[in-house]
Amino acid sequence: MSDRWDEFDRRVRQWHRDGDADRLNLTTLYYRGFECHEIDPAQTFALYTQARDEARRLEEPWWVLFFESWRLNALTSNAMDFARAMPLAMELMVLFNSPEGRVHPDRQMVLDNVLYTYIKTDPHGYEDDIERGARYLDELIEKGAVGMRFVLNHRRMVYLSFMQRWDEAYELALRSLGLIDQVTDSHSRIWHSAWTLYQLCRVCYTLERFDELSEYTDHLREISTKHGQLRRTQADSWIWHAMLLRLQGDSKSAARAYQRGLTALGPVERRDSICADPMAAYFEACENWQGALEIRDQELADVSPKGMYHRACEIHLDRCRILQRIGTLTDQDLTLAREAANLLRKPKWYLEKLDQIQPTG
Amino acid sequence: MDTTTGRFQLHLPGLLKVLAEHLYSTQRVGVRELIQNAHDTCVRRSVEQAPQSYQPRIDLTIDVANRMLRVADNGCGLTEAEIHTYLTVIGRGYTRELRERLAVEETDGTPELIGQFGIGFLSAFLLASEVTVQTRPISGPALKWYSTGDEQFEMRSGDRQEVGTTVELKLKPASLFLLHEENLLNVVQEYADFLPTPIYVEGSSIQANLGTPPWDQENSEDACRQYVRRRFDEADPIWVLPLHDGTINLGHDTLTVPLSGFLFVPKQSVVSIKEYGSVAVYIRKMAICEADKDLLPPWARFVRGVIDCPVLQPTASREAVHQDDAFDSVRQVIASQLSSGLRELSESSPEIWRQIAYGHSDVIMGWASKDPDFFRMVADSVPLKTSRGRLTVPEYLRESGDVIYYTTRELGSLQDKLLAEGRDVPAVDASWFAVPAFLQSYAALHPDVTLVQLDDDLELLLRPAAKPEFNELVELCEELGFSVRIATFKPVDLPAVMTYPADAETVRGAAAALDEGLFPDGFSGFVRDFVEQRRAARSDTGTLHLNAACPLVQRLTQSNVSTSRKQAALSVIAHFARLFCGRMLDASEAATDLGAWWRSLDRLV
Repeated sequence: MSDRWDEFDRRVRQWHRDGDADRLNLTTLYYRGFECHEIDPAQTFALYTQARDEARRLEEPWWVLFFESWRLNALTSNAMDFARAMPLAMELMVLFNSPEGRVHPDRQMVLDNVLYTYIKTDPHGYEDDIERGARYLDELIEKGAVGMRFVLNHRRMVYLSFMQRWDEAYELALRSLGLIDQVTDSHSRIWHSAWTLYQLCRVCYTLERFDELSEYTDHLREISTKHGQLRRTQADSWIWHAMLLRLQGDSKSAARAYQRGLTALGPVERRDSICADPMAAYFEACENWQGALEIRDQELADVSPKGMYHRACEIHLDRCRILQRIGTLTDQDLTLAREAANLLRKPKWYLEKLDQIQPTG
Repeated sequence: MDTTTGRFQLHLPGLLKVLAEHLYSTQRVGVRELIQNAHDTCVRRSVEQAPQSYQPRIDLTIDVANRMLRVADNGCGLTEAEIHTYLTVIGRGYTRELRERLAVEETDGTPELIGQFGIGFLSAFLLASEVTVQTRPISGPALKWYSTGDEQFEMRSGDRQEVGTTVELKLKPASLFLLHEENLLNVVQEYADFLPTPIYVEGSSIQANLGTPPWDQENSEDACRQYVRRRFDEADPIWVLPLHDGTINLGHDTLTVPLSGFLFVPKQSVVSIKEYGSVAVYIRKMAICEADKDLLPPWARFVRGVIDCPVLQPTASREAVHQDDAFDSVRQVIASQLSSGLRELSESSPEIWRQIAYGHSDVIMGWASKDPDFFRMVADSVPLKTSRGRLTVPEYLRESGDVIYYTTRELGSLQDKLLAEGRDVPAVDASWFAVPAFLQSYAALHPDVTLVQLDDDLELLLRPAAKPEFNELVELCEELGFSVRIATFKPVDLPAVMTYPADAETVRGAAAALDEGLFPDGFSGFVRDFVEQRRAARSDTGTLHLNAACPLVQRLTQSNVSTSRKQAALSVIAHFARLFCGRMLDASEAATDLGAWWRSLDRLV
């Protein structure tokens, strides 16, 4: 199976030779879509849809599939809207397992996004299917395709974190970072390193490996500034840094670092949830429970309509924990939290945790 | 160790190579630099010591056999001292020094001088492997200077008779395209169209460059329109806006920004495929860049233009401009003139404004929600795609009252459109991502306007009408294999519609692929679960909605119609509805439905 970008370049070179402006516009649409994926994922999705339609008009089936897979990716990785991603993921499962689709280089990306959709939706509920799907992709990814390996490892880290298998997530992150030298182009090297570190920071925080967290956030900050599309990881690293400074008692520098993080976020879409973990951790380090609660409330409002049922439950748990700490946890909060379980296939893990929390307000 | 000092050393051939080959991105720029030098020396002659009859000119000639391009001028020429002081000293240019001197003396001619960095002559080595300069100053002997871009150059007595300079370039292979007269003409027109010094190519008596920018010509609007057709290969633009000097209020003071040129709105744009939003930039009438995207406001993606502004600072290669304070001032002046121009246009020439709004609606709508001022300017003018064609919001509201009904699903089939009009008002097709945001901004600006989103399910438009007199029809339809609901909807002449949930086709395709075993083992579990869940929610089956308001359906409830006739009529209605909805049918199913339709008709007849 040919590499997607080799095939992309080959086709584009041919259009250049032919002076085929209509088809060259397809690549313009791709780049335009990618350019705005951090600040306006709705536009990214719209541009890829437009490109897909244009490819249909030009009778370019390879490009129709190419843009279909990027539409799905825009919903999962950019907009993080898994409710909308789910039906498209299923539609593409059919398309990319047809005779034409099976040989398309984006099939792996589609399968990966299907897996990611289920991980983000309900990892406990689909545990067996997710494990099977990950094993299949593991075998599918050829030895040389390091890029896809990073993406799959990232998905697995998210999954292991959701399942609270933190030590495995930690080891996987280190294994991933160990592969970084195999990535030949510097752009991809920065990209994959950044997103691996982004996930690793969360793992280190949970495992209270603060020295390592400090090292990783510094590195994450350094590499994120070298790439125009890593505002999110850059902001994330500043805010973790702020949290660590706060833990060390340097509140002035911590506040400055936090502000730098917010500035780096700038116009990024989903500001309220992309860095919610370090933000809430920062407020907790300041013992500003109300601040932490607001962060979680904003995150909940963002993830709830987007099919992230598992994450919504985690946030409910965190809210209840914070409210209990403040002493204002009510029955109503717990009822709301219980209702969130209705959307899970196997809510036992969640309900057990909820049962351990008693109202205080 | 003691402190020591040292001097940097220059490796001239290396430096020449870097400057000549890497400073400029294209060979075409090399010709521009040589034309500009020729122009500057003509200006210098007219300022310093020209006779009254002096007619400046530049001649470009080609010698194909010898791979030679010659750029000749009748400017001042160079003395031996000037060759040593300026031509062969990188970074020192006579023009800059002359401009500074003239500025102090407040002498005319300063604005016409272009050179600035003293490196333009280097571009000769971008084009050529050997460069010869034949020059004769006003006072002094003719000289011939020769270099191959090495550390050495040769100079000897020359034989040029007329005052002026000729640069002879033995072209490198990459520059041979300049030996085609048409290419050379293109380069002249691209960069030096507005230079006042006449330029002639290959001895033609017809001036190759315009000489005067269109905005300075008589009947400037026509000239600008003509220029747009020639330069941008665009049809006649919808609107042309002349630009002029602008004033910026700095609070404590005002700043005047010298500016000329024009903006124009082409006929049509398409988001990302044919967007504009750029201007061609000239500095002192010499082209710097073809399409600067930062000088226009971000929302002006439907605008193009040409500007000439002496306060903009070119980069050393003069292929771009520095984004400094002057750049910001120019940007502000352009934004202000464009905004007020569009506002005036909307009041004084609503028809032209309408053409702009209609020709560029997608682009305008995409940006409107991101800029409140721009939104206010366009909110009432930009047309929405509706089930009754394109309507502006005020036009729409005249038909709907204070409510905007919209669907983010494309109003594809005729049935969708008919149903969307179930409230007797048009429905807005908001499938383009910018439309919902536009409508929300509109509602935020007009608190009396309410938005009603109709999707994902057009069933929202069907009002349930559970009446016992229809029970028999429901049973008969169910016997035919249809899941039925009684509803009222418009148009009342339509006896029934068939609706399917948005995912129905996906569920169906996935189920079929599962049966065929197309999915890899690791993934079939996901698909199976998806299909089962949707099927449990009856998401893959259609629903026939019988229209209780339809006179035909009402007649079918009457007892004087026999059951068999009712059944035949309902079969015609149901199969027609299935065909009419345009979904969930492949060719064989369509044939089956048509067959059933004909058979039922046959029974009725």
